Order: sequence, then C-alpha cells, then structure tokens
Amino acid sequence: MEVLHERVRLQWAFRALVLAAVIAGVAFGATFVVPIPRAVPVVVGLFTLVAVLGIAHAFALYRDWRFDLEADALYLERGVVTRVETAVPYVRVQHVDTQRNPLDRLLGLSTVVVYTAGSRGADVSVPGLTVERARTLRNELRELAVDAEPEDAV
Amino acid sequence: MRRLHPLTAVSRAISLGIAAGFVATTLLPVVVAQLDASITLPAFLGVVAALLGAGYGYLSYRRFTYELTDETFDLGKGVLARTEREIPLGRVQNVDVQQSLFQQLFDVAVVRIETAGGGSTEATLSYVAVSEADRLQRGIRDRRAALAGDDDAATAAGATTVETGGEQAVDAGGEQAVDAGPESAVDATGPTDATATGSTDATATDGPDAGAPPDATTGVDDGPGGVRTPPAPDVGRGDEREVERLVELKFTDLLVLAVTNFKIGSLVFLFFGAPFFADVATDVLLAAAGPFGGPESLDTSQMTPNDYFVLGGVAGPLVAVLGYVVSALVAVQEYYGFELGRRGNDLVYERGLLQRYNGSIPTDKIQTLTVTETAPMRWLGYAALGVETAGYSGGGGEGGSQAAIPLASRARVVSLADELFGYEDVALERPPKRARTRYAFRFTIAVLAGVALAYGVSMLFPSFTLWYVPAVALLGVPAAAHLKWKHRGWALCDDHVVVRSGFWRRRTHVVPYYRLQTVVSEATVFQRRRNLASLIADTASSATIGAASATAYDLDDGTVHDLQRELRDRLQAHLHDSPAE
Repeated sequence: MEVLHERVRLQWAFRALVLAAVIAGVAFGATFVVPIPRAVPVVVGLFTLVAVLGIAHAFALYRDWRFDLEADALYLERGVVTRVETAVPYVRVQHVDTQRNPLDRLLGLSTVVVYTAGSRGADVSVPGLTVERARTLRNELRELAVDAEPEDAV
Repeated sequence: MRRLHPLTAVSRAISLGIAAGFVATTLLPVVVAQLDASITLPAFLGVVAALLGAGYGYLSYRRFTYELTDETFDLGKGVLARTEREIPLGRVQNVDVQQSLFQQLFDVAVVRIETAGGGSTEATLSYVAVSEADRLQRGIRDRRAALAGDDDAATAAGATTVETGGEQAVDAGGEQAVDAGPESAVDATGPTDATATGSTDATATDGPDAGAPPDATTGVDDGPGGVRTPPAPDVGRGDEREVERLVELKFTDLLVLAVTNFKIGSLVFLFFGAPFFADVATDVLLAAAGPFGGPESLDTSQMTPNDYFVLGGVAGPLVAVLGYVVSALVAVQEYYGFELGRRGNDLVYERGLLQRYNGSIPTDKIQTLTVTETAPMRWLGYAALGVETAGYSGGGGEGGSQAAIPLASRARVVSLADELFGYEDVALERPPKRARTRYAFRFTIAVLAGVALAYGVSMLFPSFTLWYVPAVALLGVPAAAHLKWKHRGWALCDDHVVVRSGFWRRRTHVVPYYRLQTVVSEATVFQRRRNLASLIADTASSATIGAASATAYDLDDGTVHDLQRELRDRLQAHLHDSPAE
C-alpha cells in the first residue's frame, strides 16, 4: 500500500483555514444583523475551533489514506469519519486525468482522477502525489486499463 | 435527409413568434420611455419581433435534419450554432416516444434517443409523424440487431431475425440474419421483400404470442423510395404480430397500483395547490381537529400553543391522505393502458392516459433490475419491476430507471426477472442482529430529540403544555427497528448479487457481476462502533440524484471485506457473460 506525499497535509490544512475563515466571516457578518454580546471573541473562537478541527482532520486523513495498484483493480482506503474503501477494476476505467490546481502547483503536488461509467463517476481521485508519481501512476493505470479484458460497451 | 413533421414549423413559428412579440411589447416600453419616443414604436417593434421569432421558429425547423443510416443516427440542428451529431446505433440505450393529448390530435409524437453518459437526451425529435416514430423505433432496433449479428451471430441474430419480414428488410438488406439459427424462417431476400416474407415470420416467433395475427399488410408503410402510406391507427399497433406480450395492466391492477403507491412528490403539489382551496381545507381541518380539542376557528389571536399542536397533529394525517389521493391520480395518468411486450431483444412498452408514452429498452443494455414493493403491495402480493439502463431517461422515468412493470403479481415479476436475468428469488441473508440494536438506538435518539425540541418550545411558550406527547413514538421504536432490519439483506447468486433495503418501499436490486463498476465499502464512525459496514455495488448509470446505487447496509465489517474481494473476483470471472459481446 502506498501513502500520499506528506505535503498534502499542508494543502488540506490550508483548505481548512480557508473554510474556517469563510465560516468566521459569515458569522461576523451575521452579528451585524443579530447583535450578540462579545461578538469578536465569539467569532475568533469559532474560527479557532473550525481551524483546529480542520487541521486535525487533515492530519488524520493523511494518516488513513492508502492506495494500491492490485492485480485487478485500483484500491483506495480513506476517510476519517466515514471510512471508504473503493476498488476500481481496471476494465472499468474510462479515462485517467492528472489535475493540478494553483495550490497543487505551489506545493509541487498533483492529483490523479480516475473516471468510470459508474454513477459515482469521477468520485475516484488520488490527491497529494508528486508530479512525477502522478505521471507514472496515470501511465500505469492507462496501461493496466488497456491490457484489461475488452469490456462490454455501455 | 429527413425533416421533422411540418406541424413542427407551424408550432415553433407560433410559439416563438408569440414569445418574442410578448417580450418585445412588455420590455420595450421601459426602454422607449427613457428615449421619449412615441407610443406607436413599441407596437411596431412588437410586431417586428413576433415576425422575427416566427421566422426563427420556421428556420429552426428547416435547419433540423436527421437520417437513419445503417450504422448511425445522424442529426443536424441549429440556426446560428450548428450541431452535427452522429450516434452509433450500437450505443443507443433506449428509444422513447411520447404523445401529449395535443399531439395525439395531430397524430404526431416526440421521439427521444438516449445513449449512455451525458445529462441530457442525445436526440430529441419534436415532432415526427406517428408512423415515422414507429419506423425509427423499429429501424434502430433492427439495425442494432443486425450490427450485433455481424459481430456475434449466435447471441443476437437468433432472436432478432424474427422481425425482418416487415418493412425493415428493405433497409437491412442481405447482411442481416444470414447465419441465424435453424429456427429462423427468414430469408433476407433483399430490398423489395416487404410482402414476400411477411407471412413467414409467424413461425419464427418464440413462445405463445396471444393476439398476434400474421397480417403481412399492416405496418408495411415504407416502400423502397421512402414513400409512406397513411399512418397506422395507433403507436406500436402496426407490428403487433411481432410482439410477444409479457404484461398487461388490467383495470383492477391499475386500481391496486393507484392505492398502493404513495409518492412524496405529491405533497409538493399539495403545498402549491393549497392556496386554491384554502376555505375547504380550513373547514375540513377544523372539523377533524374538533374531537381532539382543537380550536373553534383559525384565528391566530385566540389560538393557544396547544391548539397549534393539535392542529399540526391532525393536519399531518390529513395531508397524507390527500397526498395519497394525488399519488393515485398520478399513477392512473402514468400507467393507464400499460402494456409490456418483447420484440426480439427489446422490451417495448406503452402507457399513459392523457400523455401517451411508448418506448423500447434493449435488454442487452440493462444494467440492473430492481424489484420494488411498497408495504401495501407486499401485503396484497404484488410487486413492481424496474430496469435500469445507462441512458438518460425520457418519458418521465426517474434517472435511467424505468418501470418495466409498474405492478404485477409477485410471482409474475419474479418469473419475468428470471427470464430476463436468471434471477432466483432466493432467501437473503440478513444483517447481524447488532444492526437492529443500532436502528433501535437511532430511532430512540430521534424521538428523544423531538421531545427535547417540544420541551424547548414549551419553555418559550409557557402555555404549551403538551410537550411530552411525542414520546408516545417510543412505543413504536422496537417494531420499527425490527422491520427495518428484517427488510434488509443480501445474497450472492450464480450470476448476480442481490441486495435489499427499505420497509415502506422495499427495493431489491439485482446486479449481474459483469455489470459491476466500482465496488465500495463504507463505514461511518457509528457503524464502526459496532463493527458494521455497508457495501455498494455500483453500476453504470446516468449520474442523477435519487437513483441510489445497490447498497447492502450494515453488514458485519469482516463480511463486507470478504464480499468486496469476492465481487471483484466474480466480475473478472464473468466479464465474458455480457450480452453485448
């Protein structure tokens, strides 16, 4: 089983901070509509709470994330609150993307997205890979998908 | 290249003309007032806009062409932005025909051709003549069969050559059915055999086909030059001899269907309809609440919180009853005159009272079967059968899911599912008993939360004293937990995995191993506390909300782990079972 790159924790932690800032901002705005006593400490407390929970979640998620190229399928394990284990048979892979958002590029990371025809469609993505690993993983998946049995067309 | 029915031009010109004229005359005066222009200008511009709209409507008709070739369905549309589309027939999921009351008057219909993927219908032909809709539906089916026959004669051709005697032999030519099984009486004699082979196909029809007169002349409407004889009297009637009738919804069945199906959506309808019968609703509500100590009138200044509470308690069941009535009416409208039959490899259906639908579902495109039984249906021994294809569903189905049979006796549903998929009505294994404990726990918490909420309200409004009443629901918790548990289960059969869930609307999903896409196991933190997990057997389908994947809930986590492995192995082992190969 392979783990993600450590830097993905930074990425997720940053995302948690942004979320905390948005929630705190909305809450702060709301205090103008519904005045409450000691608004600023409450908002700061809310920000801290969400940020701490989010960062803890980021670290726990990193700890729990595993993936593996098994004989017949790409296998992923992840999830802190809800634990999800997904097997994507290579015969079902429609196409494979690598994606890099600005934060990815800043941290030198990349995400591999695996598409199937399933109703959970593009649900399957492997984040937090180095650029090099993302490229090799994408190529490996492509070859495994091509080598797999010709599937029935949908 | 063919065009849509000329009525399309008229209807589009009129509707677009009115729309454009209306927009112009309502919006322009605002602009004109700013410009200080005279009042005649908006009227003049309105007329111009209406003419432009009508012209655009006509052009959109002129620029819409389509053609059914041997291998593709080609479509060109659009006045300003052009779309040229080729749909390989082998990829077509289903073909649906819809006729509103208005369209029935003019003998036209809307045809929808669906393929997998995408959030919308790939080709919508609105409108074409009924005979043309019929020709398309059959042409696509026969060509698909011919294509499949080219690849693998053994699977498809034996069943599909049955229909080549009719008009479609014209187009299929000699390549179809040449190497079909010995039972096929059809000799594809070429482009002019419409009458010659018409009588031979009756012998090749499989099974006892009730009401199938071997009438060679009906339905033959397409000569070599594409000249059409007057349309057949009804959609799908012209080729009745080819259809093996599977299920028919009799009047009593329709009544049972209406009575046993409650659709949540009807409540939304009530919500929006309520203002129109407010007076009646008020009287009924007050009369019904009277025996429970309800108020004399809906005067908000006089009502106590207890009155509100009683009214709410009475209104709930009343709304439920009304929603029930609305659901029943909707069911009658949707499924009046339902017939399901089989033509070759396709399931074909007709249904609807005011809005008529008919369509064909290729059986080799079916992803999963779903046996649905509402609680009243179970008590009366009925069930419904749904088939899911990967296509976007037209004709009012829910997300690729079509009710192949809206209602039939349970035995009939099971036997048909067996015919289609080799489904066995096996006994399912239930989740472990600790899952039941979990449900009881969950329901208890929900009830207590309700009581707590009511208590909170009673703190705010001291005159509200009935806060403890919701606790009565605690009495029902053990039964509810048991029933929820009892109606969940799973089984691995030879060719498919079966999962079941739901008490009020019990759904039994049947997923063939070769249709599996991803296999997912999920465990929330609450499930892990009891070593439980859920298994999701995902199949290809159009990603729509509400179309739930086949999920086995709350199994032992070790079992789920093994099952996931097992399903993956069985997928590999069954990859060649697909009817498409």
